Amino acid sequence: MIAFVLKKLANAAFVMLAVAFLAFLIFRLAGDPVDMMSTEQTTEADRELLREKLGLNDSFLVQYARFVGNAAQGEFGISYRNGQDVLGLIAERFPATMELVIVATVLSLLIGLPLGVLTAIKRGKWYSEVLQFGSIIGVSLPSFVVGILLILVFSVTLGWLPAFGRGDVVNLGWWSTGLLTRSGLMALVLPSISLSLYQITLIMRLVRAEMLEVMRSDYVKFARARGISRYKIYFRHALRNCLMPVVTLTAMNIGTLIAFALITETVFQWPGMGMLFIQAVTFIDIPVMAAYLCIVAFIFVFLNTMVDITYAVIDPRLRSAN
Amino acid sequence: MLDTTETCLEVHNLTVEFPNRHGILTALNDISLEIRPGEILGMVGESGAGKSMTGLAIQGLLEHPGRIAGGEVRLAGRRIDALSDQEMEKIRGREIGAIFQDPLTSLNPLFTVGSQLVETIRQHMPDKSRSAARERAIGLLKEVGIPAPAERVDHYPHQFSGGMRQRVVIALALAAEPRLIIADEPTTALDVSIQAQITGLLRRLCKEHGTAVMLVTHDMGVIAETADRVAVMYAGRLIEIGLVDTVLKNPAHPYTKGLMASIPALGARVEHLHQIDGAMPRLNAIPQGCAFNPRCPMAGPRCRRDRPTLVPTGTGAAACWLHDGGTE
Repeated sequence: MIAFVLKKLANAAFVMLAVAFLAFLIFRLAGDPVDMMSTEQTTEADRELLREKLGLNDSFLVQYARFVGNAAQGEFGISYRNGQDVLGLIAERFPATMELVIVATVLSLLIGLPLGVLTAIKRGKWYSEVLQFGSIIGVSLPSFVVGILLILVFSVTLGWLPAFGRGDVVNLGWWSTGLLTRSGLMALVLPSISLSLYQITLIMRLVRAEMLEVMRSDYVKFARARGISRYKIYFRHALRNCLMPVVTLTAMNIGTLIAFALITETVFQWPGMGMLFIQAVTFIDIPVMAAYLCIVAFIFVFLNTMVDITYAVIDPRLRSAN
Repeated sequence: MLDTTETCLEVHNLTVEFPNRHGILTALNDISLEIRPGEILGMVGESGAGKSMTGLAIQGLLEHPGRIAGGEVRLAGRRIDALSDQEMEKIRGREIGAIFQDPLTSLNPLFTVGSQLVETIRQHMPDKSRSAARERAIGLLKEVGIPAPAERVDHYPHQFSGGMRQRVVIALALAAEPRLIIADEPTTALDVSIQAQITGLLRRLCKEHGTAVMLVTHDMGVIAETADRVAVMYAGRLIEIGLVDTVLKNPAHPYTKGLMASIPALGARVEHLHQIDGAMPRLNAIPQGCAFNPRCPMAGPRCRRDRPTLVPTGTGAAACWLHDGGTE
C-alpha cells in the first residue's frame, strides 16, 4: 500500500512539472514582458537593467527551474493589471469557488446516488421512468439557463433567495467562509443547485447503469441464494461495486467545476476564481492566467491521486502496486 | 442413522413457463421428484434441458418473466412454491443452501470471505453475536478443509485459488445448516484433480450433516462418484430417474443409453466417439409425442403420436413407451 501511494505521488509530481512547463511557455509566447512593463520614456539601459533584474538573460532551463521553484512556494509574481500579488488575488477568490463546488458536489452525491439506486431497483415503475426522463432534461439544459430560471423563480418572482453575490462572510484565517452566516447560506442555495443539477443527473444515470450491470453478476445472485436481505444486497454488495466509476466521475467533476464554475459565477456574480480568470483573460494578465493554470492543474492532479488511492481502499485487488 | 422414511424435498408436477411475445415457452414440464435427508440426487442432461432451472424454481430465483405455472414444491412438508419474496429470503440460505458453478465470480470481490460468512450466519441466526458468528465462520472454513482458517478468514476472495474458493462457497452454503443444498455444476469450472476433492468433500459433509443435495451437472463421472440416485432430463421433462448404479449400468430410456455410450472409456482408443445424432429441440419446437423421437433409434409410430409419462422400471422410473406397452 505504501509503495502504491509513493508511485502515485511520483506520477503526480511528474504531471505537475509538465503543466508548469506549459504555464512557463505562456510567458515566453506572450512576447517580451519588458515591452509591457516599460513606457515610451524607458531608456535602453533601464530596459537592460530590468531584463537583468527579471532574470530574462538567463538560459531557458534556468528560467524554467526558477519558475518551478517559485511556483512551488506559491510565488507567481505580480498581476499585470493591478500590481497585486497573484497568490493573494487567488487566495482571496479561492474559498468562494471551493465552497460553491464542494456544496454542489455533496448535493449531487446525496441526491444522485440514492436516485440512481432507486431507478435501478425499481426499474419499470412509473416514478423511475419519470426520473429517467427528467434526467435527460437535466443533462441537456445548460447551467446558465438553469441559473437564470432559478433567479427568475426564486429571486425575482418569489423573492425568497438572493439573486447574486455571496452574502456575509466570516474570515477563518485567510479562508473566508459563507457557510456560517444566514445570508451566506441563502446566497449559496441557487448557485449550488444550478451547478449541481447536471452532476445529479449524471451521477444518477451512471449509478443506475452500473447497478443494473452489477445486479446481474454472479455474486449478487449468490448473495440472493444465501438469503441476504434485498437492502443489504442493494446497498452493501451492489452499490459498493458501483462506486469506482462514481468516484472517478466525481473527482473529475470537482476539477471541472472549479475550472469552469465561471459560467455559474458570472450568472450569479459570485466572487470566485472564475470571475478572476475572465478578468485576467480580458486584460491579458499573464501571471494570473499562469497561476490559475497551475492551481487548477494541481487540483486535478491532487484529485486524481486521491481517486487512485480511494480505488485501493474500495477494491482490495488493487492494493498491491504493480 | 438417517431417517429414510421422511422426505426432505418433494416436487410434484412442477411446471415453469416463460411468457414472451410469441406465446408461452414451457421450460419445465411436469417435474416430480423427491430427495431424502442425507441423499444426493444427481440431475443430468444437456445444456438447456432444464436441470439448473429446476434448482432455481425450487429456490424461488427464476428470472423475470419466468414463473411457476403449476405443481408444488414442499420442503420438509411445508409448501414453499407460492411464498412471497420476503418469506423466500428466510428460506434461502437458512433452509436451502446454494453452490454456484464458478467460484471465481460467486464471491463478492470487495469483502473478506470472513465478512461474507459472518453476514450469512447473522442473517439467519440473528441471536449470534458478531464474535460468535466469526468463531462459527472459522469453524466452517476448517470443516471444508481450508488450512489456517483463523488467518484465512480475513483474506479476500482473490487471495484464494479456484478450488479453495469453491470450498469457501461450500462453507457459505453450509453456514446456517440448511436441510437442502442445491449445487449447480459445482465442479465444472475446476481442474479435474480438484474436482474429486470437491465432490468428495460435498459427499462427506452431506452424509455427516444429513443434508439433502441436488447436484446439477452434465458430468456423468461426477454423478457416478457422488450421487445416490440420478434424474435424467430432456427438453424440460424428467425422462428417467433411479439409483445411480442401475441407471448407469442398465439405463431404461434410449436417451440415457445414448448418454452412457457417449462417455469414452479411459484407455480405450476408438476411431469415432459415440454421439447421439441431432440436437435437443428448442423449447418452442418440441415435436409431437416423445420429445426425443426424432433422435431415437427405437422410435415407433406411437412415439411420434403420444407423449410417454414416467412408469416404474424395477428400482426407478422412465418415460418411454418401450416400458409402457410398446412403440406401435
